[in-house]
Amino acid sequence: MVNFEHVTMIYDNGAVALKDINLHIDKGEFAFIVGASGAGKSTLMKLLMCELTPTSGNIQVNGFDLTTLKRRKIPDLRRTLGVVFQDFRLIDSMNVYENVAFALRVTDTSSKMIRRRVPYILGLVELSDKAKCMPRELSGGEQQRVALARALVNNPAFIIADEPTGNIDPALSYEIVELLNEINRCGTTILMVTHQHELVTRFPKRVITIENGTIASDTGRRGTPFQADPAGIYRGEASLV
Amino acid sequence: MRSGSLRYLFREGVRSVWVNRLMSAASVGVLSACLMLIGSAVLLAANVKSMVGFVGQQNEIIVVVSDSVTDAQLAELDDTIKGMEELASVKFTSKEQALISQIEIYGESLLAGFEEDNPYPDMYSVTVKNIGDVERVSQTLAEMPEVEQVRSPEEFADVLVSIEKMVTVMGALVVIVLAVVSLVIISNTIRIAVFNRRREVNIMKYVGARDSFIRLPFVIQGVFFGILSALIAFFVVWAGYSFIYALLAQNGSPWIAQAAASIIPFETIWLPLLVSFGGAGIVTGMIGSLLSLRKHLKV
Repeated sequence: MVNFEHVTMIYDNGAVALKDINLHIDKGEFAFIVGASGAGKSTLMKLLMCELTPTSGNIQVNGFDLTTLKRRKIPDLRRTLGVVFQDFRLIDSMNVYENVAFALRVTDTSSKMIRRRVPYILGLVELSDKAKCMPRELSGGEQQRVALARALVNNPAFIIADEPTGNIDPALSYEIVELLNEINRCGTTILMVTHQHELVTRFPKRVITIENGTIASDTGRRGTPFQADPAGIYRGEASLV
Repeated sequence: MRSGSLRYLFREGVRSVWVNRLMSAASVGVLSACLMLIGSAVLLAANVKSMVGFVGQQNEIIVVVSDSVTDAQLAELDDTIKGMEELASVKFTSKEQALISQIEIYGESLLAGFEEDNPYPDMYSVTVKNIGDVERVSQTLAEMPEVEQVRSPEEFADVLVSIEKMVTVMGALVVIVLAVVSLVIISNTIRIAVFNRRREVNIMKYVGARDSFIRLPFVIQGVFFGILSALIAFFVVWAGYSFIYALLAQNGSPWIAQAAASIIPFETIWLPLLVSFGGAGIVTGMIGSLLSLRKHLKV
């Protein structure tokens, strides 16, 4: 599903964001990515979405070879991905239904399909009764659920969540991760970046720790014993900055 | 692309005009103001040229035919002059006609006896199509053996020609400066409009919309702005033009009334004006939108 081979990313200003990363994520996995600010998490996310091309190395995502992917083929890749951001990125001038339908509209889906699919997905994230609400009328947790619904509506095989709980209070954070967990159970691969230690300990999943542009630790693929906070970041053994 | 999607994109284009109505109003305002300024400058230049042409045509070159020409030579001269392409009009006055008209003015007694020995020459009064040709035409005519003398308003023609040249150059200069200023203002206005919607564009990119799909509503919006601006500019210019025309025509001064007569009537210029306004508006609106969007598509 996701494969990084010796990926190095150096920005134009000379900053080394990632150094010789090797990473493999299988279909159906749920993995957390943790690490301090500036460790290279965002760069990793941008590489996955083909927003950046690596300086060297190979990346495969959902069967697309990102190092050779043509610019006009990028939309095809992104249609197989669902992306959730920390700041929700909903369109303020559209109501909940429209925001979710938007993802289908821009990918040229038939109106009939949109009318069938959107209510179903809103039901899944338990927002059916808020379909007519504008984003500003919703709480942070609800807004993120709308964003999640939008990411899900295209039925992607792989969901990338970039600190989806970063702007939500802890109690509601669990709700979001629980929802992701449900989705994962149905076979969708999930990659979630987070800063919140409680989440990583509460949901025993694979944890990939990034430090200074390298993978400091990886609890491995499914089946390997779970070890929360292997790098000791949250126990104060490693510096967060 | 599905027809449903096209309908959606069209609706989106129109909707965003309304949602971003303040920015839309600014874009349309700037674009129509620019079109109005450029249109007025072009119209002014065209009218000054038309007036100069009108005044120029009033200036006759008098060609005095030599007394010694035979009838055959006169006929030949007649053919030559009437065949000259530079001339707008040719009027021949024979010796006899000249005498008759003089008798009408001064009375028979004063000019009695002149019938036998007519002192007046055969004469042509010609006008040129282009005032700039006066000097050259006069020279050509003077060199003809049958012609005794050519009287032409050369100095006056020189003044008119320099006015015409100045108007052309100044008009072109003003239009170029206005066009550049307009383009800068318009592209900035549209850039702000696109910047306001960068979030939407960004989200579209992340959910896998193709660039063409993202561009279409902006193009529709640009075209819409262009058409609206062109219409506004056209009607304002029309009203202004008619107002000035009426003002000049009503003026008591015969000189101004005569100048007003040479103003290009709106009926003859409305179509080219509307078409060029429409074309310029649509092209500017569209190109402005696409150029401003380009940066935001690189995600």
